[in-house]
Amino acid sequence: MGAFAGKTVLVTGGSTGIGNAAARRFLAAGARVIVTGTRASAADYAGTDGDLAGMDYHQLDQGDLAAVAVFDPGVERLDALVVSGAKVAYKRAEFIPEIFADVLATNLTGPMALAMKFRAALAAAKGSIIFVGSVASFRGTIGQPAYSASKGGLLTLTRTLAQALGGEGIRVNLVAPGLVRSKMTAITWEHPDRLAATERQVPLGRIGEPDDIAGPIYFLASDAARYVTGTSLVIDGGLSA
Amino acid sequence: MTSWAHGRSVLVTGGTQGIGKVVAEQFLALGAAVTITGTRTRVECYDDPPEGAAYIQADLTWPEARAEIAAHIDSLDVLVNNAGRGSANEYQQDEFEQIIDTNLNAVMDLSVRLHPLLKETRGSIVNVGSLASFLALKETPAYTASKAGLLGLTRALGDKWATDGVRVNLVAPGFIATRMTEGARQNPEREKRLMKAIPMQRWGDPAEVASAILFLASPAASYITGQSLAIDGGLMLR
Repeated sequence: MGAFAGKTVLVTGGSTGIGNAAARRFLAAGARVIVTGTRASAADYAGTDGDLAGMDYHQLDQGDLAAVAVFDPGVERLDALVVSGAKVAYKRAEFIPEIFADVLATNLTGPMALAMKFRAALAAAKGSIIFVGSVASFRGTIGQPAYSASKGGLLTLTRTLAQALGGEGIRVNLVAPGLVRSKMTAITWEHPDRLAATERQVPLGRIGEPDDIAGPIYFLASDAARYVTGTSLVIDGGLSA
Repeated sequence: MTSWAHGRSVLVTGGTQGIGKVVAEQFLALGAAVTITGTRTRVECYDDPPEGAAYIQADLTWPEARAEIAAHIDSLDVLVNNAGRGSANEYQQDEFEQIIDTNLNAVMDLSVRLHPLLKETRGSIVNVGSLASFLALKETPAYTASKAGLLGLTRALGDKWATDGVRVNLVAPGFIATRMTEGARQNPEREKRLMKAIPMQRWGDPAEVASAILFLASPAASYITGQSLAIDGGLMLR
């Protein structure tokens, strides 16, 4: 029987990419897994890298505070909240204030709203929150001011909530992936020259796969990390070492 | 189901007591072949050493001892550089230098000596740093400098050996209930002050550090190198 048997895990953005890899990891460990995505139904993810078999799927735009407020996946105890949903805009669109605000709503304000919404359920289970940050939590990314600001904000939000919620037994941590092969980063890895240029910079010599991030997320949510809170774990093949 | 560590070779320096002992025990429980080092003549000289581990006597302060350890090991998947010490006289230069030798120079030497074996198995190194890798502990300048140095060494070796498939990471324990912190734990005033500084409001258990070390050594961390992981109940947030 898995280490998460009888436990409940919610993964936002759990329909594809890193979020889906994490969701599958928890499912394999016996958890009841609830995932959210932006599409209307689980069937709409056919043909993507997402595998939603065995999970409860809910449509949720986490950047919409009203939608977060009425979101009701039916949990009273939550052992882990993994906030993986995020967006990015390319071609300098993030320099437009309205688009900047929209990215911040999904990547930072939404995660805070989710943390507050599930605070009591997390406290009831002595559960933990794992935010999916980025190497952009620590440094600028020249074309993505909103993405960088939101991920930098998630880092200090992680630290602040760890302080604020520690007394309730809730741990709060962040994973900071480097470049990972997912829908969001296709613009880089689908381009052979860009991929080769990136891989040359990574000490381990390859870009990350969603499963490379799922293991660390699972670890941070598990009992093995029960004295770890407020920390960030960089998973980038040594890029920032 | 066999675990990832089944049949793997693991070396834990200072694996006789405290965090190192529990690391050895957790690897043994997964079916690994574990070798530990300690400074005493025989493993029986320790109160409650891990059962089933091979023992090498070695005071890592001395290069000869490091060479001796390397000579004993013929295959290696995981190196846990855990041995370390502090003292009450770290403002005395000879004491300062000896602690740097034990806590930092020995880690570099042992890692370089064992690197060829780790390269063969695409293994990994986990260094045991401290909150002193990031913060000043003013009464122990050598301990602080050595643990901060260990953080830089982790990054440099992580970059250098990545192409060999050898990962190098560091754990940074906060206040853990071991012999090293016994004094503070027996002083209610001091303990109260310390607990106020920790969001989780309790001492860490050696097992909670050991489990993080095992994670970093495991395939679940296969894309993590040159990194540090704090296990401090949130202490460094304040």
